[in-house]
Amino acid sequence: MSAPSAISEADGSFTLRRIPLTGVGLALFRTSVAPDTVAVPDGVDTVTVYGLVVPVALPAVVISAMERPIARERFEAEAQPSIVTLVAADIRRAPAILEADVVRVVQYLPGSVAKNDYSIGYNVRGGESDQNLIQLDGITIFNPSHLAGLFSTFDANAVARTDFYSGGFPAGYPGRLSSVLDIGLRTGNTERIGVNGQVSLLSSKVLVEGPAWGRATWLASVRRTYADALVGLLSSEVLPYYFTDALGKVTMPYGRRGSLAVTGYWGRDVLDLELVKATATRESQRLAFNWGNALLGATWRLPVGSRALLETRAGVSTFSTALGLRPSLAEFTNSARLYTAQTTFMPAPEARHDVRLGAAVESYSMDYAVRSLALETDLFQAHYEPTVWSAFAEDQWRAARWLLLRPGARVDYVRGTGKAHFSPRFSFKTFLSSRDAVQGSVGRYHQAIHSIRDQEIPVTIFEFWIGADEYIPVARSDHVVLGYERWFGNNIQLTVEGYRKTFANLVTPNRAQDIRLEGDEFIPAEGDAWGGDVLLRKHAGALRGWIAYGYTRAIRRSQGVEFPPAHDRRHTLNVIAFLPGPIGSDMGFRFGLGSPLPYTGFIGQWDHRIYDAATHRFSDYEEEPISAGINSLRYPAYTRLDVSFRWRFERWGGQWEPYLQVANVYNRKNPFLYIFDFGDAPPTRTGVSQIPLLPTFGVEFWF
Amino acid sequence: MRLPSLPLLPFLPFCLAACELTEVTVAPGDPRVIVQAVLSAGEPMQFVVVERSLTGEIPAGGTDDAIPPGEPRLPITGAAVMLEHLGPSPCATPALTLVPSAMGRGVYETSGFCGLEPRDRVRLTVTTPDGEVVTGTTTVPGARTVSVRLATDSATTPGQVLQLDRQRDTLRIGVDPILARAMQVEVRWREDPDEVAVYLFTDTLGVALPGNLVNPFEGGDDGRPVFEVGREYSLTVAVTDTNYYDFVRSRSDPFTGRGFLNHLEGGIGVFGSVAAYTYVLRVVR
Repeated sequence: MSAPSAISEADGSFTLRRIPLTGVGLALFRTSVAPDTVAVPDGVDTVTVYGLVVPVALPAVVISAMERPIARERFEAEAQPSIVTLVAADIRRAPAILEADVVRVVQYLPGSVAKNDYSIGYNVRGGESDQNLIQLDGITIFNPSHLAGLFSTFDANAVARTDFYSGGFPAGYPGRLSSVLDIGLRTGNTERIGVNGQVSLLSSKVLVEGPAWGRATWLASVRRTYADALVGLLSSEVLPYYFTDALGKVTMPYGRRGSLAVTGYWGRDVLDLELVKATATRESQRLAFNWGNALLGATWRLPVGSRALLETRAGVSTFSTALGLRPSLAEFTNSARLYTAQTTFMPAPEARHDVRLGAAVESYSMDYAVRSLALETDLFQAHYEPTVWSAFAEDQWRAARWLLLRPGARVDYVRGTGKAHFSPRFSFKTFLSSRDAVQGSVGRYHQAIHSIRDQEIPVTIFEFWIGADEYIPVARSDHVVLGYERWFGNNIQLTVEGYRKTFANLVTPNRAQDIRLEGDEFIPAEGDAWGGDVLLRKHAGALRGWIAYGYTRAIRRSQGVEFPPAHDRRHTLNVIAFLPGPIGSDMGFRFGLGSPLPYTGFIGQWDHRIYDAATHRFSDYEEEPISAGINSLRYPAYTRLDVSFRWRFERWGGQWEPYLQVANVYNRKNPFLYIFDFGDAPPTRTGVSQIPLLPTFGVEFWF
Repeated sequence: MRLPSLPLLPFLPFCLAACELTEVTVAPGDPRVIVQAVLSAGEPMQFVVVERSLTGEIPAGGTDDAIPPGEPRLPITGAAVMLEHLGPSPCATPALTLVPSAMGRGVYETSGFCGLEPRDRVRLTVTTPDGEVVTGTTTVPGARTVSVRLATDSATTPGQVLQLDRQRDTLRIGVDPILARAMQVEVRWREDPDEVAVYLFTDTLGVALPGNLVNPFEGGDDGRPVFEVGREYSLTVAVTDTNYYDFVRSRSDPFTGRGFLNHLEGGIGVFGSVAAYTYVLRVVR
């Protein structure tokens, strides 16, 4: 008989394999639970053990080193380069512009470039922002941002763990070319009802969690901005914008020794401005703009026999937006919907192999329409519905004590194109000692959906998704990664990686598109990127954090023109530190430095005239820029220093945590965009800065 | 009725949070030849505007100086501007050099050019005194029929008068096109053509205007009724060629400079054509 093994689940259950069916005793140890020993009756294969909760007296200082950070465990067990794991504390304590934000923290990791302070999107190792897969508990979310990117969609206090892959990601993830952000929600409190809330300048949120139905747990979080209500309360003005979102998760035992987790999210941004008041004979006319994501997903984990686990996931994710002059004058609508299902068979890890076999299907539907009911015109309609059938296999193979290999492959058949795409992957890790290793990865990646947003525009409000069909190709990227990882004890990690990527079958919007025709919506583009990333990270202790440095060179080619993409930043440095601060605070610190990013300069302007057919004359004009060549100039370098302070105390039976955050401490005026005026002599350039010095404060509480 | 740039609204919070940066002087730009001309079938006179792009090298004048009634801000005078009628309809003087116009410097107009019929092709050649050459070609559009209908009234012949009841009628316009790519609809006060009630452009070649339509961007909280009782309007339906269609629908993006669809060789602008049909609307209730 091989050695016993155990699988622990998030819901508190353990599956013990290869143990005798007689004479078994279970010893129970856990902080805040009284130690206990239980004898398992002979022949019984399932027992439920209740622990006695006891108070724990802790010393005054509770910050202590983790025995083994996740990254250290992974270093020894997996051939996986280009991955960083964030835990909830990293996200909560990192200084933020308005609120703790998962996606913002990802912008501070190696390989990631944020074009500006306003963009919730990020570019990874020379890729476009639509090449990043973002999943919440395994379900893809289309556009995770609020307020044009100033807020992200995820309540940081509901997040358990976030894995960010900037390259070489496993075959089990569906198609994206550049990165994976895998966000896992935590389970609810298993012992009692808990309440966490936050009140800040612009929004409030509350998270409630607890046990239910025996071994089930639940968690629900709701957030809403209230600047609109405040403005209405304090003045006669109207702020016609708010957003709200809700997040929930239920975990429960399901089936024989299995578990089921159900995750849901819903969010909506609403801008609603009354332009014309209603009268007795007519409705009001409103400018209405709203958008939002929703998803519902379930993950069922079921042990198969005593030696394997089957994980099956299914979900639906939607995004929709509408911009209109209502009730009927004009409306633009866009919706994207994804039905997805995936099952992964995981035999119990043997001493040398950890195999995963899986199959998946993603069924997309994207619709666009521009119409006016009042004017009885349908100006534009488009529909895309790619379906991707996939199969994948992967093996973490300990070929020798000093060598880990991970061969794998994914095959995607994209209905609509009628083509299958083979994506081989291979990673390795060669241990030089118990503390350092050389690792690398080569692989091919395919992506069946694109964003039609012009990726050279510096702001991402959201992506407009379309799918591959007989005219629109499946994008492809090849990655090569080679790196070195070293651990100093169990706490300090150093990784150095170099990479090379190619991009093929990218698409950019064709502005000369004839909307009567199908297939001319886009023009092809391709590109290359190479560079290197360095991460020095201290995982625990009174002072912890990381220093991330990235060097990138990226290029795009389209219609005979070669140009650097807008995110082609040579040097990116982020220093993140969590340390004791003044007046008993926990302090967060972030310093960001970025070398100049490209922008399009102009060599003049012209008067684009407006022609009146009735009078056969030009009556008016709009000034229009003349480009000097796309992304031919560069902004100045970017720097920004942010700090945050949190104080913790107990009062009224709960724990309180007031906080103060200051973004851009020294009020650096980083350019966001430039505005040229060639209409007078001499010609001039003004600009708009990114976020100025911006203090925010609020309070969090736990009961 | 022109709509503002609605997609820019989400950028509002950025403007609120950001600061304006200091104005700095930059190097003068690189001049380009700008040519803009839209031929109108049925008009006795055609004109072409020839000018330079603004580069900041010399003062370009105030914005009120653009034609009409003034002239381009940086007009190119002394240019050779030629129209060639390429058929298929007959033309006695197929090649015509335009003469400087009284409308202003940089404006050139025809004198005695052939009439334009649907399917006619016309080539424009502009040669500046510095030797720069700009060329373009247009195919004149037309309509077999233009249908203008109300609930109880309709017009098929330009110049006809229709009685519009705002509470009852929706004005429905449809075109049976000849090589036309899009349709421009203008509704103006008859006594003052500068007062525009409706200006819209659509490639659907069919559109409806409800009689009780309100322009939400004028008239404050009450909006402004497009049609006012007792007033007479001229309704112009113009079908357009592809060049003019692209000229209207495209703009260079302020971030990337990409986007404008230019069909000229050697310069920037438009050489397009339209065929316009005008009717009279009398709002009776």
